[in-house]
Amino acid sequence: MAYSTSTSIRGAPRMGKLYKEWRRLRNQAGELLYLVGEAEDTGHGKEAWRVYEEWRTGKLGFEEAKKRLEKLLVEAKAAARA
Amino acid sequence: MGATVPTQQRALCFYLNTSILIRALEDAEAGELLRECCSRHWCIISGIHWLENWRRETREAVTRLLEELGVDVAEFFNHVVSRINRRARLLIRNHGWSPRRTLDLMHVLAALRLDCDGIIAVDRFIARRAKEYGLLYVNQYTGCPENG
Repeated sequence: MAYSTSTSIRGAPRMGKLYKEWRRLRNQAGELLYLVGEAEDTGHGKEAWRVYEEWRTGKLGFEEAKKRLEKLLVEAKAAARA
Repeated sequence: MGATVPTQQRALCFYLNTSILIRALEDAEAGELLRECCSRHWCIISGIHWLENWRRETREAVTRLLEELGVDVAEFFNHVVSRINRRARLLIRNHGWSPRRTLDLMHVLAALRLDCDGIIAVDRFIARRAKEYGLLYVNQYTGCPENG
């Protein structure tokens, strides 16, 4: 499903480079925080927050952080079913 | 006893969304709005701001701006951040919004949790949510509101 996160307002001045970069990072933060919250619900919050912090501080790329969080969630759900 | 005593108009409490802080670094008009609002009203940010992933230079510039404006920081305990996150996810699921909007919603929910009168931002999504939750929405087009 395609989502729009457009923030443009008709007639408004164009957003600058800094704003566009921040918006891209804010979208990534949102996606990761959604997964962190899901992981918290399965009792794996500590590990999830560690991954998030690694991404936030630049030690981990977005794709890698997302992959790790998704893996954590899959494992947590499998463990809950077992 | 019991008579209403006329009081001075009170200053309002505004939550500063990160979007307006970033915009203020690039756009003089947004900066002017922030200066006016922060001098007339009580402007705050919350611990949710520390969840943002900023480049070091951007973080330093925002920190300098917040100091210049005299903005207070309302910190949350971790369990409150978790509750705000849970509420944001619930709203996202119920409304079919993008998970990318989790942090945007967390800021709006933080403003509600802190009992703010309004939110200053540059974002159509936040503008709509603010309206739905009965918060005043302020940007450089609405201008700084009068005292309440």
